[in-house]
Amino acid sequence: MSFLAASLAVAIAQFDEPQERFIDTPIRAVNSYQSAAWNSIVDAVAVLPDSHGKPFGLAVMIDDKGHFVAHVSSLVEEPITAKMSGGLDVRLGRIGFDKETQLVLLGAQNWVTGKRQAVRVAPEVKKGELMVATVNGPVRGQLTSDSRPGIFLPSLRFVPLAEIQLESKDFPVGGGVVFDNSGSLVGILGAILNPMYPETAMATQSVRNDPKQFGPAGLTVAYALGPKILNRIVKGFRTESHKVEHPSVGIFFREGEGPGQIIVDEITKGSPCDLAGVKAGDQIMSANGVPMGNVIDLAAMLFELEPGSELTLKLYRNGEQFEAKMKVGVQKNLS
Amino acid sequence: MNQDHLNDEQMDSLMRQIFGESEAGDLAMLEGVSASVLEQERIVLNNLRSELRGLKEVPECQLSTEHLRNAILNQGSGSKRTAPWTSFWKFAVPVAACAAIASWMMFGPKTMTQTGQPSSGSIAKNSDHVAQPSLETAPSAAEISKDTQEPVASNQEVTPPVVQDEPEPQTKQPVKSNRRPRGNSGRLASNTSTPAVSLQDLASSAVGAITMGFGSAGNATMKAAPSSDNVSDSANRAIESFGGAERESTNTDSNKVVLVGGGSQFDARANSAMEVDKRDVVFGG
Repeated sequence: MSFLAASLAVAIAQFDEPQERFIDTPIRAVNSYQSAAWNSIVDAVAVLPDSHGKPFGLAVMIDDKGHFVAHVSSLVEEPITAKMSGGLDVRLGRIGFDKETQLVLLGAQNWVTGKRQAVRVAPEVKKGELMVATVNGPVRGQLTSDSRPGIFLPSLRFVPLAEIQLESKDFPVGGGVVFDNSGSLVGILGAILNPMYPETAMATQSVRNDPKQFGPAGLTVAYALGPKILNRIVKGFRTESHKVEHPSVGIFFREGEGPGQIIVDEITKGSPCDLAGVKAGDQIMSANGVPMGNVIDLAAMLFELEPGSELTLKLYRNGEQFEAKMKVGVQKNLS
Repeated sequence: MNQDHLNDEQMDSLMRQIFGESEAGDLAMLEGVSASVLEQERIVLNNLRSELRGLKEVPECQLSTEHLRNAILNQGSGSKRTAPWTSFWKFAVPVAACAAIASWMMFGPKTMTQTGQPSSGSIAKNSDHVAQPSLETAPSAAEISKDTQEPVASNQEVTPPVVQDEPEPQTKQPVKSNRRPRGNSGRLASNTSTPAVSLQDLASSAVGAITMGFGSAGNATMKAAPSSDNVSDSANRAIESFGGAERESTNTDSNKVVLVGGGSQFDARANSAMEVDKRDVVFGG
């Protein structure tokens, strides 16, 4: 624990507020299991500074070649001189970016292979307590769902999100790195639930006479990119091109008027769907033989497809059913 | 090259679509506009529409003479006669309350004045006494969790999909009742004659989704994420479970989708996320 405290003290030496707060408060909130997990991963975490050199965000090392992943919200300026435990300064530069999920791949200059042990990305996340590494140290989190349906703007891409409740309210949690109790990487925080949206969220609630509440003070509801999407991103970042391939068939769809109806809203020109003859207004009945109960079912299935695999959509247009067969493409080809 | 913003005419056109007053040529006017821009505007306008709908101060049933007539026919216009013995209970409760207050005034303050200030021991004893009944009578959170979650878990594992259709009307109901025609209603004019997905299909879909490992939000009995409608409850459970037994959320509002990227919150250094109805969102894939 003393080593951990010393590491954090070095990393956050230039914070305005007293160091005791960052050393004591967050760490005290973490239980013994998580303290052990934190000690196992602290060497793989880099603290990213802002333009004044103050700690601002975090990056986590994904291999022993000096590749780090961070959420774009953790970056203020580049290149970055990040601080790691033991007083190690690392010069990081951006070498990859996944526009869909806003994750950045940073490469370390003059990195000595084997100097530090990278974190392992868990294949899945289990419900229960988690540890979230923030610039202020670890805080406790509780996974409440591993598959919240999420949509990222502006791409409108569906991504299953992990919903985590953090035992902190005012911490800068953006870009926080989520670990399970064994020290495996299970998520990177990208967004927090915004209660200040009266013109949108409250309006939706008012129709249902169901006032929105956000729980007692001291809790933050945050959303993280979970292991499914993280594994895909890390796999892409580790390639020579450092590019992530998200499956795409170039379709935009929304729920129709009737129960369970899925209506094609728009088709991207030149996309697999366009070439297969799918048009706006078509109703989607099934995909690869699986009846689609609602839009989220379809979005989730499309998310799971592998680029290059076959997709058969059963559609309904002007009183007739027909099938559209296509080969799944990748998002980068369509943007 | 897609437009990254809407001009005034296009915005008017989109508003007509959202409010169900689409005119010929409205769809064509929006061609070439970026799908993401269009979607953001749609969300704003849909929420505006929802908010306007929520501004009704007087419920429809009060305005409707038809409903009033039905109410009179069903319930009668005269005041209901009450049984004579009910008047006794009307007075019994206040009398009992007065008696309780009087007894407290007589005996409660005396003990305080006799002892001056209650010792910490007596406070602890009193608090124990107060806390005890709640421990005995109220079911524990674990019991509640067990009661509410076990059937769901068993549904996921062994119950045939037909059983899972039971809550389906609840999730599908808003689609039937409250929705006004969308902007693309003209395009979907034939929808009324199109076959809706049958319960059997939905059941099959549920099985398929489970097989794929998704917590499909479209099937209410499947383990779904907690919605922010009940974040307070979820948060309380989360607090309880920190350092305690692991509990799962039981909220199952399957119509909500988390929209990420609607601005950033600088203090938290994170994007804003908000929950929207899945019927108001376009999905890309």
